[in-house]
Amino acid sequence: MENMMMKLKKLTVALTITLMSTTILSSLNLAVAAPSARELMEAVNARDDGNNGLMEMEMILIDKKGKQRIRKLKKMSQDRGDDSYSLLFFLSPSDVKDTGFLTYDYDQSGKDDDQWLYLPALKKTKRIANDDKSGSFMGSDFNYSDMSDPDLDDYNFTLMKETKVHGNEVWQIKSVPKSKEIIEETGYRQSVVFVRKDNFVVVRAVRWMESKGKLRYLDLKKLEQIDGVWTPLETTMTTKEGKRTLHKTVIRYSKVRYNQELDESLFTVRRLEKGAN
Amino acid sequence: MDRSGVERAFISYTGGLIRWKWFALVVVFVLTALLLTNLPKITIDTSNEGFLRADDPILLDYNRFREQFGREEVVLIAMRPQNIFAPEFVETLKKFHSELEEQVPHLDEVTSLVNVRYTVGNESELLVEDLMEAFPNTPEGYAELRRVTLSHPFYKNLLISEDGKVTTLVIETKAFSTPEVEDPLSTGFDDMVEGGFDDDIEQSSSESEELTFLTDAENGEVVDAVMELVEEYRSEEFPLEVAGSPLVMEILKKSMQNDMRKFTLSMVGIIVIFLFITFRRGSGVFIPLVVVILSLLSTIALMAATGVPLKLTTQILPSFIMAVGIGDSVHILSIFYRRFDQNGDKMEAIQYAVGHSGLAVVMTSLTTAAGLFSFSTAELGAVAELGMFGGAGAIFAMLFSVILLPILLAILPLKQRSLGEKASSVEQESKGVIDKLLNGAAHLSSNHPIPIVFGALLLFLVALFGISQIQFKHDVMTWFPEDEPIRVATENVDRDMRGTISVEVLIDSGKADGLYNPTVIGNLAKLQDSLDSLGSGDAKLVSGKRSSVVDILRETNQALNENRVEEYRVPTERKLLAQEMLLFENTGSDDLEKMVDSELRTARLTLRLPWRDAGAYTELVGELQQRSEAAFVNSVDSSVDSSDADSSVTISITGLMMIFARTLDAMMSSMLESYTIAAVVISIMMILLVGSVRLGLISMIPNLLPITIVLGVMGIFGLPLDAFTMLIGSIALGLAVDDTVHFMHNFMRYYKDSGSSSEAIVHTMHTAGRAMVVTTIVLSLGFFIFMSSEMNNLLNFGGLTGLAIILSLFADILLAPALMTLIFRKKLNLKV
Repeated sequence: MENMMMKLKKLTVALTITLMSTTILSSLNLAVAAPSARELMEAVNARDDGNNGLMEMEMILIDKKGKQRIRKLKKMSQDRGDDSYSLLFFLSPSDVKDTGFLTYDYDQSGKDDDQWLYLPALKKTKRIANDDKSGSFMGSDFNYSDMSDPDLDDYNFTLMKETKVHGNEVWQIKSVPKSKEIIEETGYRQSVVFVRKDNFVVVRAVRWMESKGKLRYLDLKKLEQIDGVWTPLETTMTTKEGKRTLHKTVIRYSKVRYNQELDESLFTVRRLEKGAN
Repeated sequence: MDRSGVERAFISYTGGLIRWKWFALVVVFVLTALLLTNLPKITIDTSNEGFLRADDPILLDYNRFREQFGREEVVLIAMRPQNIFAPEFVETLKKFHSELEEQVPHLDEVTSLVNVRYTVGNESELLVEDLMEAFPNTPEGYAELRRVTLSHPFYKNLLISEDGKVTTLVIETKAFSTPEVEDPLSTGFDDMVEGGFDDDIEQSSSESEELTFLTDAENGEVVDAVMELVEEYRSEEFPLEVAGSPLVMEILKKSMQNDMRKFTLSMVGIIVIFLFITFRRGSGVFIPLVVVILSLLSTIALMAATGVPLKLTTQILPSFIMAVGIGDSVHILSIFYRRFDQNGDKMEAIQYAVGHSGLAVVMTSLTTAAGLFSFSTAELGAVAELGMFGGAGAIFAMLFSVILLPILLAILPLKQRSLGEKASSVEQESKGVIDKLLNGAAHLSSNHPIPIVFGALLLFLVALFGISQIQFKHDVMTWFPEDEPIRVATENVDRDMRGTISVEVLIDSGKADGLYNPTVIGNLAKLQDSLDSLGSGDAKLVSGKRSSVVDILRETNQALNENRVEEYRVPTERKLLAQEMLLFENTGSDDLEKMVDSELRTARLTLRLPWRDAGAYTELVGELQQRSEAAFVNSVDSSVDSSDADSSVTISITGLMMIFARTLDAMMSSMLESYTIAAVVISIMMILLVGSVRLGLISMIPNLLPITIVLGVMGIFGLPLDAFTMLIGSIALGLAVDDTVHFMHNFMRYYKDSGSSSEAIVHTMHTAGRAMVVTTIVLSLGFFIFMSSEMNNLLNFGGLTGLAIILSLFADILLAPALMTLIFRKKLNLKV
């Protein structure tokens, strides 16, 4: 009888220790396994989006009545350290052919982008002063702030939950600007982004616009790996008010090639004035 | 018409009703309750476009315009500080502007000198930014701000007055009502069609759901929020005036709600008093009140059920229906009580009363309804609705009087009063006065008919002269008392900024990207510059501001050319035009989408005009259309691109000015048509009633004379014919006819019995006469109450309609008997 009691006691102690250590270990595991929202966004920004890229771009602007305006462009991009340079030329419609766009997107916090627009009809290049990124990019539903990486220090990030988009597992992250200035600068009061777990691509986003009642919905329809780089091939951005669609933009990329022989002098104002070739 | 046959029919009908009284009561109760459940759905619409019919082409154009370009009506806040370009004012303006952006709901945009676009360029750079951001808070900065603001052509008369002393802030609201989307995330993430993420490009246009324009309640929220902030900021240093049609709309609505409440309650009070004086019994007050209130509620419920909002015209319905409905009850009850007091048999008395007056009640209700229904075909929607539902109200009153009233009489315990019971001294005196009046009238009309008829003819001729002087007017602003702030503010802003309302010229180039055609744009620029005024002489209207995409192009072109002043012009080369627009699209300003449609096919040219009576606009519309079309005549020929050859520019004109002009037009064309229809329909009914064409037509004379006199009075005293006063004719006709019907109905019966017209007249005065006087007093008081409103339109309407009603009484106690005397004097053996 006493023997049994002793054995029972030992068993109990052993069980308790096992249980406790398992619990501790697994909670440690959890703590290690769950990244912070901020970390996730850092990974998104750090994602390799290709260098020395050359591609064709089709931008379709669709109004609330379904009427479409189609623009075709050629795009070149190059990383310079932490900054990224891009060059866009209009191929069509014919009235704006050869109009060129050069952008220097600086990584440094607080440093405004430089942008130049070349108008072939005037044969002049003008620098566009755009410290305000809340304006629309070429009349589309994308803001300038949508076209470049956000400065993470300007936001508070919260991991909302994990879910699925188009069959892929994603993190759902809320980002809220820290100050009113950021809202005015970017044009958005807050966003919810959906980041794919496997490749850190933002595949969906909902953005609350500064103008109350209006929302923008970003949706990546086609994502492919080209030369090892995850490239969004078709993206839509829809501006809605309630259930009503106000406007929609579709951007499609094709003939995407990376690591091309792109000379640095390509990304200069002088080159801009020479045209698409 | 077999009068006695009809009487017998009514008597047996009432007998049946009494036998089945409880069952009938339940049926009436259930049907009425079903109808009344619609009441909570009622809405109010005091908008300008609410005057027009929903399918009016001008309104449809206006709606299409609003769908594309947003709401055209804006709230304007005018500020007249000591010095605009000083730190104290600028700082306050910035705070005010920003608080407005934060707190006003349903907002599209707030524009002021703080954030209006400022385009400037130098050798290497193009800048489009908010005006005040471009200048530092230094004395030099303020001086530069001043210089730029005063010299920039775009800002003048838009945000700054020509003398630089007044600046305005413009508040644009959303055009559409946006229902709250509960969880945008979940609606967005639904991979089905209705979600925020649709899986098909073409889907975006297929969500054609019912769009409602901003509701009056939402407009009210906007106005309340704005006024709250205005009151907070208003001070001696920061003087503010608010104008704009959204504000007018809201003030009209609030005033309407107040007035309606006041009138309805006053009407109830008057009715209660008169019923009590006339009958001196609880049931005599209670029963008619029930009938009248149920009629009113049923009419409003019908409006709610059919989705018709209460409008500025239909606000008179409650008082009107009560006034109209009371007559039926009074006639039936006065006969009932007398009979009941005589013989004590309640059921027999009910049957007798209904039999005796049933036909008259039906006829008077039908004639009143006919008078109102004659307006339901009016081109002016708001008047048509009054016609429809006013008529419906009269029918409801008839039904309740003929069905519910006998039921209630049968069910309620009533005490017979002995005929000898002492009447109060007030009652005796009033009876005495009335009797004296009636006796006097009977005597006069029987013995001196010819002077009476001559007198009437004279009045008629004077009235005709007056009618020739009448003017049609539609100017909602004049409805307000002269010192009403909104009216003063509108006049001030009109004077300082040269206009508070707009007219929109839409230039449709005929194809997508048609606006890239430099000829079209060049013509638009010329047109814009040339439209600085419309009309000539007294009718001339100055337009202080015209704006279109031309302003954007001029600014951009100048900025691209080192800000040289001579480059403030539109480009003449197609590709440059297209590229400058692209450039502008990239600057972050969304002003372009307000000026052109997204296909770049249609351009919008806005002209600002001062607020005037609609009559000032109607002639100018034609001129505007003509000048605009002429400006684009050569757009096709001189284009370089051959593909332009087969498209031509079409012009359409819309905007608030068009709504006003159309309202006036519709009013004028409605009136003649409706009055004619009413006269014809009622004549036919009178003919049926008296059974003779000749007599029927003659009996229309005392019906038509009062209205003619009132219209003459309007002409002589310069009172305008507007959406309200034009209704007087049909309402007064419908009501006046009641007295004539009662007179003729009784006169015919008594003449048939006695063969003497003078005896018949006296007898009629003693029976129907008293009821006629009482109902006239009640009706006219019901309309005279409107004169207690602050609003001039209701004041005029109430006074004139009351006058018409009183004149009808005199027409029916003097002129009608006089006419009958003359007719029957000669032909003693006239078959009746």
